[in-house]
Amino acid sequence: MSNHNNEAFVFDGKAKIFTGVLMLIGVICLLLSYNSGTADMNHMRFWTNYLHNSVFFVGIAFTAVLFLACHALAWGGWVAVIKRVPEAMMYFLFVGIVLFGVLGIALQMNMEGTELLYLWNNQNYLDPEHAHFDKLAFHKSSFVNPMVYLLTVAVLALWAFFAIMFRKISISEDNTPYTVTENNSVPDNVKKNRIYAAAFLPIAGFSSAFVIWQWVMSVDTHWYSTLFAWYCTVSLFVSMCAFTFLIILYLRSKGLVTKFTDEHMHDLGKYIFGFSVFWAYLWFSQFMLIWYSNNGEETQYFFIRFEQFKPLFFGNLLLNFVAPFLILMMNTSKRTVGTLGFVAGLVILGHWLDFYQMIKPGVWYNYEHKMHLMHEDAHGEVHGSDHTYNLNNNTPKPVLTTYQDDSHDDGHAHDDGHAHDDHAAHATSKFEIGVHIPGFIEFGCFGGFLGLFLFVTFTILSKASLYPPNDPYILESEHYDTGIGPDRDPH
Amino acid sequence: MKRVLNKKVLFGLYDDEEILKDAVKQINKEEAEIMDVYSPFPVHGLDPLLGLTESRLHIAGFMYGITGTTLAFGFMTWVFTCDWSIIFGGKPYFSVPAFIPITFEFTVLMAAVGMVVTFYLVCGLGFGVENPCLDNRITDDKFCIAFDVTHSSQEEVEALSVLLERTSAGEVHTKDI
Repeated sequence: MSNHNNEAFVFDGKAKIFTGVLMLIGVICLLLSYNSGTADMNHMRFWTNYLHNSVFFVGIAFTAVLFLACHALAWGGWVAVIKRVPEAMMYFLFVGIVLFGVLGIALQMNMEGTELLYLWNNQNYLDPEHAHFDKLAFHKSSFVNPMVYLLTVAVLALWAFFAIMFRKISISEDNTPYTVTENNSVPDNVKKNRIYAAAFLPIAGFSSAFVIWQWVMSVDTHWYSTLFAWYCTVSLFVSMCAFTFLIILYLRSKGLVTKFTDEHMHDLGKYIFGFSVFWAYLWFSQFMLIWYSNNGEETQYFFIRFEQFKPLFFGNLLLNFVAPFLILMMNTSKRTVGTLGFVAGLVILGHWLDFYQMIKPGVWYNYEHKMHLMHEDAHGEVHGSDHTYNLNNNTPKPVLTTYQDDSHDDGHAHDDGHAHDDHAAHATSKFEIGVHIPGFIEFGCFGGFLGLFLFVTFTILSKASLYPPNDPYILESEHYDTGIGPDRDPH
Repeated sequence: MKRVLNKKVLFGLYDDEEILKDAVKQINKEEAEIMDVYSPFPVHGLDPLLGLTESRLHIAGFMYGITGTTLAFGFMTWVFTCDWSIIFGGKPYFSVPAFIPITFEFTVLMAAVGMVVTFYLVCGLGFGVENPCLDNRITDDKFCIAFDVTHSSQEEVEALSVLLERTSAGEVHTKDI
């Protein structure tokens, strides 16, 4: 096997240009999105795209660490031949520190548009003296505020620390063969790996929930769901497995990762299949409990998505559950490169759209909410009383909000000159490319972040052999057999 | 009820699954027809050697599952929209999300029970059936390759015994089952 001992991936030429072009497209699209939309949208499209893609790719990096930690702790040996790929992906956490550091500082500085991105960052809502005082946001502001938001960067740094340690242990094996004695049957680096993995899992469990509440759930500041963190993590885990598979396909097209067989592919396929089902389970659990209990402040999350974002709402289920479930159900489709590759691409798109429909409708709600309040200001207290949404009132009222049914306001807009502009924007913005459906700019931004993600991954991949020759599990992994394939020579 | 197959079986016992797999390969090469291989646990890579195709049990399972889905969903729909409409918590009569958990559970139940019953029927297992066992140790630590020698001549049986011994079988016996 000596000819496989050094599988070096060289990151240059076409691949480098490809990621560079993607990043360039991304930068252009981000700049375009900064000036997209009407003035009152306050660069909403830019901030949402920035947040959406950052969360998606940083999340994938996080689940890559999770993947390694889980397998280290569960003695999962089969990953040894593919472990360099998640190891490389997890280095995107360092980019994440910068991305969310910038966003945190932008929130801290109250930059234009961040008050739409996170409703809790609008100082008017938090001021008890202000007409727009928002009781719920005010009460939650001790947890969702720019200072706590910056803490998520510290969490990222903590994850990155574990990422470094896992990588360091893994690389140190390459040059130093492990020794096993009678009294010490487990190699030292495996022990060390397990200790870090055991420390990481509980930390990751709690901190990822905290992080995802801050990043994504607090977009809908009035809303909360206890299932949300699991739901997001599973979404990211599926995407991570899909990315791992696609990157391996690319590396194999270069004649690398030669020890990757149908058996490993089958297991990655099982992960994609299984976690897609688990994702649907969590999606449905969250949906059905909210649907059944029918509380105004809970249903508003699904109400706006169901009323205004129907294609996304159902497309999400179709791409992330129905398609992988039906296509990957058969063993043979998990063992076919074309089928699994297709599904991997599909679920990456699907889970990207999943995060899209978590963030954009929430921000759109914040926008409509702001427009509504401004509209109310312009008309005095007349409309305040006939809307259920009035948090300034001391008696709690259900927060049932989507502003589509504001049609009765239209009559007033025309005999009220000074609110006309706002109202016109409000009334015509029922369907917005880049909000209700992703536009070219959204896909361009995705491409940009993808380019950055691949650049980081490939750079790290090129730094070490893709084949870990001295990993204690490597032989187990090479001879890994799910038991249903054709017989291979065990020696 | 003791099941009688009226067969004469020649079998060799092996100590290890790797020896067993090598033996099967060797026997295949010499084109002897194996009746069956018995092992205390599933041996990876044995099925293709024996020329066993993929089991159709899971196709049956899918059918049972689909039946369960249709039955549960159809029944609830019929009950709550036609037969005995009741409003629960202000929801419409035809409340799909509320039907899903029961539909799911019934699908799993049908698929699981259906597959177990099918498996038992196909394999001739079940309550009160006592199947012949070549050697009790093949449920514990021995691996067994068996030939059907009911209609074989004495020379053929001897040739097969030699073949079994050559492939490192620890013991070779014949038994009427």
